[in-house]
Amino acid sequence: MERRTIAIIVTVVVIAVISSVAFGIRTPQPTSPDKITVTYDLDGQNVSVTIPLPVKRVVSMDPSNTQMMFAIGAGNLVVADTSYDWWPENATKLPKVEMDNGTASVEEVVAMNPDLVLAYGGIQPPQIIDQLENLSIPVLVFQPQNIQQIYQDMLVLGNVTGHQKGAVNEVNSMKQKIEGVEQKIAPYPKVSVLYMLWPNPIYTVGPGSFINNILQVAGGINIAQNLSSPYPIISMEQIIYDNPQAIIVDNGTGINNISYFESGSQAALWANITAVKTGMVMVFNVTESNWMDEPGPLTVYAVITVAEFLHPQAFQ
Amino acid sequence: MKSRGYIFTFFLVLLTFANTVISLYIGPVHIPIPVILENIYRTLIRADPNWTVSTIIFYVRMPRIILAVLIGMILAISGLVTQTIFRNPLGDPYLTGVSSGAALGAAIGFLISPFLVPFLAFFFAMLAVGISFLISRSGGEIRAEILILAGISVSFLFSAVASYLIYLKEYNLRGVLFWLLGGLYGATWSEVYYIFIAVLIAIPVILAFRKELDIMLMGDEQAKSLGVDTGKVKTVTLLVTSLVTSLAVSFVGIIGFIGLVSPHIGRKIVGESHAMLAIVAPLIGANLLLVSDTIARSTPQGEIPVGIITAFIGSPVLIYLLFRRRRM
Repeated sequence: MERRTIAIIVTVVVIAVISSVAFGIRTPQPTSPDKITVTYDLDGQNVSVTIPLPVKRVVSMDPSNTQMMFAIGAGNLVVADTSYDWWPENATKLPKVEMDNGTASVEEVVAMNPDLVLAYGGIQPPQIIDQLENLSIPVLVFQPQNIQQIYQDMLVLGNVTGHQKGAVNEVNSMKQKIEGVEQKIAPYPKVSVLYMLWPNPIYTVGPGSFINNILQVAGGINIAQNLSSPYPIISMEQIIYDNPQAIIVDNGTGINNISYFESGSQAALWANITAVKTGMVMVFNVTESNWMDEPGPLTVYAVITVAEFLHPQAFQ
Repeated sequence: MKSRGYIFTFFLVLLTFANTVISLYIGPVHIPIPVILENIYRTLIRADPNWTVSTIIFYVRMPRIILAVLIGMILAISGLVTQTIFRNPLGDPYLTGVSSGAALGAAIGFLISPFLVPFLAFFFAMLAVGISFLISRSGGEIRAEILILAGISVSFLFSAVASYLIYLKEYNLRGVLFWLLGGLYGATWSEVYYIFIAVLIAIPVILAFRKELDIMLMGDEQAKSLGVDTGKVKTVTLLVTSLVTSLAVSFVGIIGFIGLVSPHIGRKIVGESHAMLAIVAPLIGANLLLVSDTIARSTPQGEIPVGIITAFIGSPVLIYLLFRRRRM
């Protein structure tokens, strides 16, 4: 989660400009077959990126992008990614251009001789993207804020890399799985839920955050959905007042299990909250956290995991 | 000046009580006053109070309000002592390396487990202070002018290591970034208990040295010629205030401005006498931090870091007082 929370500012809406009228993608502009122009809205400004075709070498600067590339069948085009990449296994074996502290080396990216670089909005410093563009290396910046935008981004990638069919198949498969979950949980009332990114102060997810969208799709009502920012601090008294029926704790917060709420130093605050009384507390492991935090093909598993936790009856 | 001081002290005590009661009513969840009163009464006579209301009042707001009052006192008394000993109006409680020591301790704590943070922050804060003191000892006495430089050097060293860790491990150390901003969001009764003991130690110790501190305002040589054991005064007062500041910082992170501005406000009103200042400055600090924290936890955006509010409230007050002095 960390990387998203630290720097999510930029809003990116990507609109593909070739083929694929389906899924609400804008009608293609006439482009010559040796290049493709993608227009998108980056932090309120219309950005247009022209990418020479064919795209053969792609550097991915974020696990979300890497996963989307592999999912649509374009994984063999990825020549370098980041030290955060963990799925699929082949992605972990590629050369790395971004290190643990989140900085990508422009030199290393350039040395990979890419036709296209994929970035994630708000993660890479804008200077790095500017530097790459000044070197005439096209950069696509994705930042899906809901599942619909994942579909759009995948279709754009499919068009740019010539894997339209793979992209459409993957999107349809995701849609099918998520609709399956939605049908199963439809008969059951929604469950109010607190999603804890960090315990002290209690950072959570608000409107406009990707995780908020997952919680909604999975049959939850985020108690912080009325706060005013995507990653707000929620006050303890608000939590006591809203009395969530379920609590989900992100990985790496220092909380290992429900005993933090039942007998920790703050137990007096938590003990009577419905989620704690009924044992509806889930602490994500690393993989589950990654599913939540990295919008892409694996988001399906995030939706299934949350839905199974919130609505166990629906999956019996 | 003295009677004015007593009146002002009395007024400040009343103000602190009033602020405490008003703050109990303010918060992100709106609870009407009659409901608050009814639940306080029901809790006191153990007559099945509403759990939501009584938990918010007794376990969220009350410890936080009292902690704000006590931490405000600690920062103010520490700032007062620092300004007097160093004869430097810019003195604040973090001058001897407390804050950067605590920051490094917190960073290491977050790498191991977030629950170790207060202990390591305290330990490293005291370590930084200890090193500064050792460097500035000469002939069995701490030399203020060296201590101030030692504090700065040690601060830079500890901050450099902390920054390096945070840069390298930003992924695991996001907690430090929240922690560095400071805040009273984690207040529980156990923290109130420890900080209360710290206040009970710090203020009487400083009061015991009130005359020596008054004399030391004239300079070390003058003070020595008047028979003050300046070495002892400096060592004891600075060690005590560093200790309690470290404790405060280990619980609530680094909250700026209270320690700097409270003694100045106090001096403008009751003069330089430490007999008065050691009471008045902490009361001013208590009210400043309480008001700041109440605003910080009640904004419509959710909670915002309290340091922003302390600076917003503190600096105009200080500027106003500086202007008034110029006209006099």
